[in-house]
Amino acid sequence: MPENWTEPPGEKIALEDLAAQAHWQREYHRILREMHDAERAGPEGAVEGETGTVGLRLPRNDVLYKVRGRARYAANIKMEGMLHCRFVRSEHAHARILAVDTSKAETAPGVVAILTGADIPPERRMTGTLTQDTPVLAVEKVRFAGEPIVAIAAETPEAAEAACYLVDVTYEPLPMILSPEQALAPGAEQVDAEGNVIGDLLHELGDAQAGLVEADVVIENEYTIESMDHCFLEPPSGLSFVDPEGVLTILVCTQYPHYHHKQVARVTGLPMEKVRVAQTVVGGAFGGKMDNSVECVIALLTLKTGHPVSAIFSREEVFTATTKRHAMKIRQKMGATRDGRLTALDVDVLADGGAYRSYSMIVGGRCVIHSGMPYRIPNVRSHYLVTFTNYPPAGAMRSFGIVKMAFALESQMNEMADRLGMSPIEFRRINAMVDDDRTIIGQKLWDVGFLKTLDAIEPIYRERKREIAANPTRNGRKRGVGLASLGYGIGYSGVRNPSTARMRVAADGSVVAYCGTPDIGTGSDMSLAMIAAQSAGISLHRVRVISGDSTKTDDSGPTSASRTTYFSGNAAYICGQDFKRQIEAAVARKRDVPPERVQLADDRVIVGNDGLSFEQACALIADEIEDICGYGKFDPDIAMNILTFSGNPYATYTFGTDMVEVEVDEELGRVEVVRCWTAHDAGTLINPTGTEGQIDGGVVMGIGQALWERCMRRDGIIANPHYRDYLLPGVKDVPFEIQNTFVDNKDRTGPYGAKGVAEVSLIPIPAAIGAAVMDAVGVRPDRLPMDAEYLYRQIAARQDRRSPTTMATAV
Amino acid sequence: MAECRYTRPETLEDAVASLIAAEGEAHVIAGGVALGILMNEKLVEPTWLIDISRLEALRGIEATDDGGLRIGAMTLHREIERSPPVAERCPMLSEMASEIACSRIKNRGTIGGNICLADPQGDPPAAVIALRATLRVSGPRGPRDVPATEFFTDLYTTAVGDDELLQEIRIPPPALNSGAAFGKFSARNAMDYGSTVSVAVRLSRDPSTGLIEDIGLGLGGVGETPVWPERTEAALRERLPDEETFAHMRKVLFAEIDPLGDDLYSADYKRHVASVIMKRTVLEAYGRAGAKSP
Repeated sequence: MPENWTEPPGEKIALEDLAAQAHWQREYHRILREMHDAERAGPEGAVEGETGTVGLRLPRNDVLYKVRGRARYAANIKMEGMLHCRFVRSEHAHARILAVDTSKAETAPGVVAILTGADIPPERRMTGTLTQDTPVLAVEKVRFAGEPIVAIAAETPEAAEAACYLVDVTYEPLPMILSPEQALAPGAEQVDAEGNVIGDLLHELGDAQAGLVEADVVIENEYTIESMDHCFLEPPSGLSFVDPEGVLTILVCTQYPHYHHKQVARVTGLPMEKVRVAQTVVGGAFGGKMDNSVECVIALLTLKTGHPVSAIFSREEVFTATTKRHAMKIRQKMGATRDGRLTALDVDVLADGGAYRSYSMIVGGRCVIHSGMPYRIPNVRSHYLVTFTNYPPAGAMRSFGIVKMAFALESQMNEMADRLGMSPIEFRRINAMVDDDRTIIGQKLWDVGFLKTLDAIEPIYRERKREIAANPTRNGRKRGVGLASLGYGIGYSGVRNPSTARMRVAADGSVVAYCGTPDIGTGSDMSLAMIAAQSAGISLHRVRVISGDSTKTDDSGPTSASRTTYFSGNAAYICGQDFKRQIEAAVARKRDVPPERVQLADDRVIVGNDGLSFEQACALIADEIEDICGYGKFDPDIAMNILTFSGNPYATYTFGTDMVEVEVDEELGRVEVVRCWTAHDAGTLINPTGTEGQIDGGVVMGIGQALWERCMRRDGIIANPHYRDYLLPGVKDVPFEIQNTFVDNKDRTGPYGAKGVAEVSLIPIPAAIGAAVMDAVGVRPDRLPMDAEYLYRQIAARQDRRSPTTMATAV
Repeated sequence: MAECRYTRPETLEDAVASLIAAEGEAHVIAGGVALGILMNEKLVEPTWLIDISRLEALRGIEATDDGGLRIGAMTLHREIERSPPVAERCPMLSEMASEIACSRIKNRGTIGGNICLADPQGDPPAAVIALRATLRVSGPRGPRDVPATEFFTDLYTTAVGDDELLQEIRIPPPALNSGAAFGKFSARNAMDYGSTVSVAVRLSRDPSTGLIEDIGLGLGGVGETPVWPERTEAALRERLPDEETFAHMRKVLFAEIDPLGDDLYSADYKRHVASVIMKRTVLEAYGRAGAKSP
């Protein structure tokens, strides 16, 4: 136990002014109670039952402490005697490490400990999400520039940083593999001992070649999509310490505390019960906070020094040393008959997986399964090949690759509709998946609301087309509209991923719901509280959700893949029912009546003709209240063999259609997205305010990917590791109107009919922008990002084809 | 971080005295917008900082008797953007200032600091070149005036000596039948720093023939320094702003500027952007020149 340890950790992460955060939580509950009362008094009322809050617009439980600047991010937490960790990172994209000399750094002022990969026993050196293939610190060779080799803990961040410059690493450079094509070339340098291929997945439904032959129209395109960063504003940060009971505790911003718990236990060799990983407030994640970043290293440094150790990535480290979105090339053929029926789709994806495996196989499986989604196509061949390269590992990012598959598929859907002389909506409607249709791997669908999203967009599309036909330019810029659709499986791909929840109650009537998936800034704690409260029949203000602590909840998987509302929501629902039954049974015992005569509803316990407030009921059963523990587990039968692609990979699917209006400066190729309309089949909305926030955020992320965002990769380095040159949309680039529609549809398997919605609105946006650009200036983008120079050259080439003597020849 | 000496003079004389004492070893800090970033990135590690933020005499905007403007070097971008005399006598400068970066930078950065940084991407340098401003520099030998067209001598280098300080910017009065405009290209609407192209134009128009009479042009983002495209000016002088003129202008401009390609845009594309923005900005200035009396 470190002697400088001052304060024991409490309920969540009771350090210093976490108390302030708790204060705002309490304040929030007061406001919530008032709002709730006002809502109940209001004309609209609650959706189901008096205590029901599902479907109400409620402010999230994290807003007060966030807007008041009291959120405790990992980087804000300080402890006495805390050391600061910085990393020595590889300057080479691919090199053998011949020697690591830390002798000068050891004697540098302020340095307390230095950790190299060699300090970790070989059997504990590796970490990884699906495959343990990533060294905590590189030992024999480095596979990308930015890979950590040495970690230094010092009294100040500056001292740690300065000491990093004193470490001498001797490299023997190896040939760099900078693209999948290079990786696959005969005689290529091997990045991994097992070869350069991470995964090679193939599935065929029917006979794609025959389907193409049968088609009246066949189109073929190659789409190029560059790598991008998640751009969470909070860099990976964490703090480790040993608590008074000897438990190695990691406070870290993460999507998946239980994963880090296991990794830290393995890497340190500590038994599971001697490790605790508690999530701090997360400032954005988007799939980029699921892999190991700081966790293992600070854990090892704390064990080595006895001190708390903090690590905060710089922005440059975020860009160069965390996972990225896969760069991809997608070659695709689509065939259709003259009357608009799709006959075949033939997809070849070549993906750049970077230096380690991370989530490459999950992305690949998802891409294959989603080929052709959300359309009924009799013949589909889908081939996904992902290789190692010497760039940062590509991993999970919002939609796990489907935004790129949709860019290819939806761009071709729009092109095919044009070729057939059909409206893009009509063409989609002919081929749209409906109930009882099957995905390409044979899963039968239910409660498919896709057609409803087309219905919702169609009148807006017609109105905008008419308006733009009448006024084709504005301020000298060409106007256009375009749309694209999506279908997306909710949750892990093809493996069981149960969620659980527990509910306990104190004699004063306050309820704690322990939910396994952490809130990563999406408002999921709020949604889960709403579901649990409504299911149990108690008032929302009683329920506090505890999530994101690996020792307080079961491992319910990460908050990712749009799964928390659906999976953990179902668990919370089941748990609420169980909790209600237990309260009713306990009251029945006290009153000596049969349990069926007791009912907990509307925050009251009715016993025969008598009614108790929930507090009175809790007081009544105070002596056995400790025994009450509601439990809910949601574990749908998800199973798929990724080699044969047989089985049911997802518990449910979400659908949608997005439309954008753009203005294009034809002389410069510059695009502005001025308006956006979305229609989603998200099932029931638990908290519509939160749902809309997700949709708006996805739209803006999609605009960034479509127009600007890319990691500029040059000779093995990321050439733009900062926000000056990595261009994100700013507030002036967001459409002045994003209008969201949610179609009336309930999922029979979801909590109160809800589906997942976190990733989906992003998926069609780049393709919709591409279609709008086509509508405005007559070129079809086949590249992401479609930056101004690229579009200018496309436009100039088109004008050259039209009349060879016009402008653009000067360049 | 290395030891750094810090001086904060209260008068221009003291500032110059400090500069002389520093013998070229000092960095002058005004708003700190650029220097702050460079220091954070450890690209510059000053050993002596001379902070001129207390030199109130260098701050302020004055409408001069000749119909022009006198702008102190320490005047904030925001103050220029919102100044009534600037809006009245040189609205292009208000326009330019309003387009600079973002509110935080406009409230902190100074026009003098920006001009002395001589960033090739900068907007104020292009504007003062087009406006034919005079830059008054103070030093041990007293004040001297440098025409803006001769001020930017090399990459991040100006005519200001090691022992000198930019004191003020003098904008000459607009000629009869003149108009000015400022045009800018950036990848996003959000604040951009790299890969921007800016064009400043002031011209006068012959009321009877409609010909462009006198013209001043300044360019940012198309070379190693802010650029005075003298030959392109000549290509526009005594001509009507029609397609033929602009085709000619485009050729001359392409030969005259030498933009650097970067990861975002090629040199060719930047040339193209400069010519398109220049055409649009000239037309805008020309329209204004006809729309009102000076």
